[in-house]
Amino acid sequence: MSYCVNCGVELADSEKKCPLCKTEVINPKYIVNSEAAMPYPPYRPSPSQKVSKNSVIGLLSLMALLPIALSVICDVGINGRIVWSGFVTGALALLYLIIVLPIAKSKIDSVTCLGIDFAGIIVYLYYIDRTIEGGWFLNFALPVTLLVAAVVMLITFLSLYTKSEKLPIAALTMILFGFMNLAIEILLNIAFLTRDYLVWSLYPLATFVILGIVLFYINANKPLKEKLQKKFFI
Amino acid sequence: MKQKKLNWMRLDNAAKIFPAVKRKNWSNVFRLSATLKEPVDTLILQSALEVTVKRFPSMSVRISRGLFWYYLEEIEKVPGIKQDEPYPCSRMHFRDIRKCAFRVLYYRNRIAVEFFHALTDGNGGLVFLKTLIAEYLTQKYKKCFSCGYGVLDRNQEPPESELEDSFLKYEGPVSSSRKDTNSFRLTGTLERNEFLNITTGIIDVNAVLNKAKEYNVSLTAFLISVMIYSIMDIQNIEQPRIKRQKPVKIMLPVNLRNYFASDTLRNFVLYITPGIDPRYGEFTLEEIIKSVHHQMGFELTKKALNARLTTNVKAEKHLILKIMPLFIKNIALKLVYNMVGERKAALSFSNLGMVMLPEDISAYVDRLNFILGVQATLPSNCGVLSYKDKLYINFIRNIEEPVLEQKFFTNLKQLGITAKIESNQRDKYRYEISE
Repeated sequence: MSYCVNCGVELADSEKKCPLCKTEVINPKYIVNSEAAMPYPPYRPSPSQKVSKNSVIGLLSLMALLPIALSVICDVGINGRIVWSGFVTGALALLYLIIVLPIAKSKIDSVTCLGIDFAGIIVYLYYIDRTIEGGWFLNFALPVTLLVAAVVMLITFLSLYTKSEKLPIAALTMILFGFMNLAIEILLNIAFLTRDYLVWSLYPLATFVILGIVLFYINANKPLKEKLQKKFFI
Repeated sequence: MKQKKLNWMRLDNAAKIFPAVKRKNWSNVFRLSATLKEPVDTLILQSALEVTVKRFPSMSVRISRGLFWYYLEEIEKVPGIKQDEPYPCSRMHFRDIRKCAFRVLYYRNRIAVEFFHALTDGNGGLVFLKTLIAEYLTQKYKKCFSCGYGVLDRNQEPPESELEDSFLKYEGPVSSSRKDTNSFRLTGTLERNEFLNITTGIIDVNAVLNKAKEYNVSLTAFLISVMIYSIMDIQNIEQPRIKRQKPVKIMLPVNLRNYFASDTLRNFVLYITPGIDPRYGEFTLEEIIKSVHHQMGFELTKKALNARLTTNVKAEKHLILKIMPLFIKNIALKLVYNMVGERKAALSFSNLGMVMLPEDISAYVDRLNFILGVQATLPSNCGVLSYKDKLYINFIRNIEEPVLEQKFFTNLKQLGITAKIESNQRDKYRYEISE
């Protein structure tokens, strides 16, 4: 028999260490077959079951097929050809691309992923424009999408792949967002010939540019930044 | 062929709560086991089980769902015995309980029976185990073994008195209040994969009895006091500010058969919760022992227990509860259980006392054991029994840290009582490799 040198309790032959304090049992004079004396069958943890990526993708694909099939059948049944079900299919295909791509290709970097998503959006908008003969794709939808894509990808790149601090990135985002509003109103005016002067975009432009400058200013002033951090941390 | 009509019965008063409060990963289970002198013959054990269950119609049952209450329904087929698990009292899925609410397990020389608590209490379960062992030995050695000490005659028809709900029989005129303070609760790191740690302390029963006699108290009062003392130590470390400490209380199941004449094999047990309030000041072990002894003396009287019993029976008979559909009743009972059931004590300490077997049977049985499963939200429980000259104290826990066990056994050691410790601890190194 052995005793725990820490707790002082006697230990059964099955114990390789004290069950109470986990101290190893060292008794060179008393060697026993601990396997033989074990009071319960040995523990073999069951392997944990993980849901594979492929099964998630498979499930999402099958789920996406359901509304596509139903809307195509309905559309063709009523109109005898594809009229509106193309939009449903395109929207679901776009949604599928946006959700499934990051799951399927975890190694693909976020900026490229966003690039592919925006490319998908452009293709879908082109399809809508062509189907309804809108004539707004080249002079409005394409430049706006490219502009938004450029801003989102730039901010994502700066936040993920550079060592820039959060505050200047937030400041830049605000300023770019202000100018983006301005650009959108200009493009609207040109594409749809609504008016030849600016109405609403100057408000967000002024607000976001000034807020952006304030953030740059706080970032440049270290004591002020620290003081504000202390006051407003969450 | 005419099919046999299956018997059914209502759940007894104490059992009604158990199916209602079951959870996805927890049901109230306890285990009784007997270790023989030689390896178990599985074919004979299965055959012995088939004979034994016929003698216990209130236990060879499954839980079924009625519109207003759960009920017990006799099973058509005796369940197959199974090899034991790496840990006792493993989760009994409710889908299994609805097929058969007990299981028989074997491992080397050991035969274990695990019951869903709605079927019976520790004493009823012990009668089943003893009778199963007697039948096993009878079939194995082809000779007659004595009955008595809880071993029943398998050829006898089960009398009505064994199947009665004794709670209803002893309902009194006055009920007592259930108002009670909440207790300090143990906490720790939850084990992965629902693993349950079992730590058994094997002690010379005379050493503990002599120590209890020194203090002029019963063995149970002495052990509970050491337990409270150990938990008090843990609370002192976790919450050094005495003002913020909570009372330390232990749930002690009381076998009502000792107070009210009853042969029932179903649940006939109540709980008392002796304890101390550390906010009153620092308690020495002697003070705790004295206090626990008097609390037990005050509460363990026929009249006091009768009033407690009446409270439970009156609640069951309440018209609104009776006519509530089962699914609403389950929600209500679960809410009450969550708010009250497990908050009044740090753990259960269930002592089945000195267990005896007829001499010719005990010659074949080396050891008996009693393990209480963990509760839904309390991480530890403790089951105790004495057999021959040994006292078996079984701690079960679903957390990693054996803090309570260490405190308890080292406190006993300091009182001059050395326990031999046995456990199902995993070989950490091998366990990590195999993962």
